[in-house]
Amino acid sequence: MPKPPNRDERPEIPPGTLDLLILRSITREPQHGYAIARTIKEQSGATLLVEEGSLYPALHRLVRLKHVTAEWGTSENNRKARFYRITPAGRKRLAADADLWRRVSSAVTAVLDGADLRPGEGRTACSA
Amino acid sequence: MLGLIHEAHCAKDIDRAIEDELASHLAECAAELAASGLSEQEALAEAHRRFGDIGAYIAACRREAPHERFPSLNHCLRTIQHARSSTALQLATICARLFLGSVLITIACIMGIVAISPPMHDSVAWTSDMRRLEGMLPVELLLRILADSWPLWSFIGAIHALAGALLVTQRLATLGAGLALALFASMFVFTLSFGFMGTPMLLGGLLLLCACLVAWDLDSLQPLFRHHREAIEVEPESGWISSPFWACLGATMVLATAVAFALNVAAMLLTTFGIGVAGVAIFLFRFLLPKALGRGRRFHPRSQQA
Repeated sequence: MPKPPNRDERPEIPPGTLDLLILRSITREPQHGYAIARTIKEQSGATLLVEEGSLYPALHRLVRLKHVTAEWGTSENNRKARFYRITPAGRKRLAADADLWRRVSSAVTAVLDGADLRPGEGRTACSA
Repeated sequence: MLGLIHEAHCAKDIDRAIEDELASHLAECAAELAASGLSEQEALAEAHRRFGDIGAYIAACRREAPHERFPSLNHCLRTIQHARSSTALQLATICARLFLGSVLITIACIMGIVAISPPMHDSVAWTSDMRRLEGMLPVELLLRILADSWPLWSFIGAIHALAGALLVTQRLATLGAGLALALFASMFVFTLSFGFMGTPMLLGGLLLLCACLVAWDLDSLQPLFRHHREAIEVEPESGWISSPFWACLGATMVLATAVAFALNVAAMLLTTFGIGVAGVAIFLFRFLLPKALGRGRRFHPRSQQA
């Protein structure tokens, strides 16, 4: 198994994808902030490391946008923790954002690999 | 206003939730580090180190904190910011300030007329001669005694005049609106307490108008409510609303009212409201209408010249 990169060597999470990662982390069951960060780290093979300073504001923003709900509960370590649960609106956004991300990332990969895209395939609006 | 009350009320709850969540995160992280072999103290110190800038975290969370039940102060401010760019609402605000200012100055002048009229009774005698109370309503008695008490009556009248003058200056209208709100609120409660018919309705309308004027200037009142929260920047009044024309019109109204006050109440009312209406009409026809039609002299407010 390849050794995970050092903390300082890890790539930054691309802008706009943190919400997507958070929503994906809580699709199966509600999780608290620390567990969400841990899930993202584990599922990315320790490549993506979510900064706490951006995780919690993003969670609060998602609550404000009604994409997740939050309620206090008890963590697996028997500590008071705030659990985040995805809402139907959050699931819709996750589906839309995940689809967009797949198209963008496959298009970027295709460009990097030098492959030719057929007209209309993988076409998407891309902001600078 | 609802958002303002809510924000002041729930700010502590939001802060507590943010701090509790931070404590929960640090405890989870420290527990994991302790399980990997660090001592409890070292684990907690490492958890703090990994978390990074706690102050920045708290500030960012406060900015994003949701307000689910009522619109937040930020939302109210953004709505006001949007409203302040409307020409119709700017004109309505100026008219409301002039109108309320005129009402307050008129009240002050009427209070002055009552005060300089010879006292019908000796206020001290009321307490000893109860027969004089016959046929008088309690409110009549109260007002008469108040009018006979020079320092208090004059002070109340002066405060009305000051609020009116501040409102018509435009530049200090926020202070005037706050003062007027307190004055109309006290009058509203007074008329309700003594069972006045109709007057509370009229005062209620004036009170609502004052509340609208205070809300219009909510941005300048932010430091009173937001404490450590980051303030939303709202553009100060600019364009033709900040024109010195309005301050001049206000000053003219105050002076004319004071002069006409020497004649009689009807002349005073006509003068005050007449000048106000004439001033707004002059501004509309001289500056705003030609500008809207794209011809005539261009109006350059102070802020644009600078």
